[in-house]
Amino acid sequence: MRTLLLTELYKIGTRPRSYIGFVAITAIVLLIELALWLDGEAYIGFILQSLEQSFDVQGRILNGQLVAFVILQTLIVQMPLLVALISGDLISGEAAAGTIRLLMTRPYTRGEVLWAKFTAASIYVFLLILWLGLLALGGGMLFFGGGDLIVLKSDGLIILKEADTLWRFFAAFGISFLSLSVVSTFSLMLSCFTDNSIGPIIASMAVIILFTIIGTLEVPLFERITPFLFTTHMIVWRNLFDFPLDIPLLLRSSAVLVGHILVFLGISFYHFSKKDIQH
Amino acid sequence: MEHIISIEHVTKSYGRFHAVDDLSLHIRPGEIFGFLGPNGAGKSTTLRMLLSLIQPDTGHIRLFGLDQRLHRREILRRIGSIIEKPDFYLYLSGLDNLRIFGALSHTPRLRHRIDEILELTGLKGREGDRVQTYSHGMKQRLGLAQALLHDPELIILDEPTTGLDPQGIIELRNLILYLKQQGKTVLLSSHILSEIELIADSMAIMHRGKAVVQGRVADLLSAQENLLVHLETGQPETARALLRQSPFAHQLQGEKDNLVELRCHREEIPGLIALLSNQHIPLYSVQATRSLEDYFLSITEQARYSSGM
Repeated sequence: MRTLLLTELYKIGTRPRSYIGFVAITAIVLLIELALWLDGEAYIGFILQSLEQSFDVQGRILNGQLVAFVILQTLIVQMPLLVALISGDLISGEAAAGTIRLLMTRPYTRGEVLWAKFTAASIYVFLLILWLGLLALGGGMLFFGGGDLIVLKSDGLIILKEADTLWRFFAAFGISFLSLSVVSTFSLMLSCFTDNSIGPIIASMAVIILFTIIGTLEVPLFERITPFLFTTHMIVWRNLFDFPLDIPLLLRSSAVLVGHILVFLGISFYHFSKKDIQH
Repeated sequence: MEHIISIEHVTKSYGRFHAVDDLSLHIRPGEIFGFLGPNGAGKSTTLRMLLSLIQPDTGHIRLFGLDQRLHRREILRRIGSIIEKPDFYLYLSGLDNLRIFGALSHTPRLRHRIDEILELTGLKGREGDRVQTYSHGMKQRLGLAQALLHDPELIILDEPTTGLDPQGIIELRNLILYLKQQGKTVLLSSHILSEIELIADSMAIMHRGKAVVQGRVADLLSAQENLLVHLETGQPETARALLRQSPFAHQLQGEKDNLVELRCHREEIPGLIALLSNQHIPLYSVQATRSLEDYFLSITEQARYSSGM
């Protein structure tokens, strides 16, 4: 099993497309940080202008914590695609290339092969999040310094003390890891059903976009199904920057995300174990 | 172990199409077994079922005396195979591909073994190049290399000579004979009868999912000493009339345009030619085929016709 996992990681690590995600994240993060470095104060001033009429706002508002928060908000759309690009190809890509035949004639069960691919994909997602965290939070703190985090809400303003922000970011990265693992597992599941490499990637993005639209439309019929869509719970990381924390909500959303992972994995295992390998 | 492979009443269907239809086959250890048939006969489906790539609908498969469904891992550890064209990770080198598949097959002393196999398959010197740059023949060699890397007892090769040049075919043939000398069992599928006859100990011919001919190659060939002779002549009616009055009368077969067909032994052919020549009946060609080859050609032709080629 260890050999199988190492082999999967080696295959992901030696494919050029695996680095698209890291390059994209680096480019986007550096762009945002550069933009905020050059024009961040004006941007902050514009946002807080109504507040400054009633309050005297002091301190370093544009700091590493705020930069990291802005980056997280921005990348939420791009990250699922970067994950689906790898996970959606894990089974169907090998089927399309014909290497699935050689792989499945090694002394491993279908379940072991799928488990190794799922684990390798999860490690990839973890590394992506880690890289994002290093660049966003680490880079933000390095270039902008630390400070309290001001979070603007529709109904108010939350100020989180500097010492109170770090663990929230780590928890946000944790929930982001869960969210992207759902995307990864969903793409992997689709990958088990087809011998076409592109199909699962595009289908994953289409489903995410569709579910996101359903979640934002305030239609009574949709409101009944919205709580069950994984996209609804993918943005719950924002609630970590609330005060007070809604712990039941966070736990409930995490459980829904874990439940989705288990369901998608279950479907994947069932189908892949019975699938005839024709290619 | 009496049989290294036992296939008992195995069927595999796709809708109403029976890819394999109540097939039973037994292969002895240490022999080269030829698995013949035209395209669509069910050879590849059978080989995939042996390797657990496809699940049979009914029947049982045992390899090394073990039930395939219960001992899949142990069985696969002892098999090396090439199914269809060998496909590899094109973005990796031949060496990297062998490292991956060798590690997954739990090959001991992998690096040393890879060196040995590269020498054996003639790939030494090119192993560092990406597989994307390999010719078809080199990919076939690499396919053979990955199949032999973990020193399996049973080697399954699905049409391994496809795309090889004549020199490559000879080298492959010699390699298979070498493997047999090492005590390996080789199951070799092909749609070329002459290729199988040259090296196989036993063979089966598949047609429409069934094994229509099975047995030792020597036995099958000796039973086919009766040749089907086609005489192309300018006077077919005169030739047939003459033959009806001769000792060859009972050997005449059907009529086809200007061809006269009859069955006879190889030693009788000179006498047959002399009989017709002495009566000044012009002969343009004499072709002799064994009935097994003729049968195989006829089912191949049928398969080609039904596939619309």
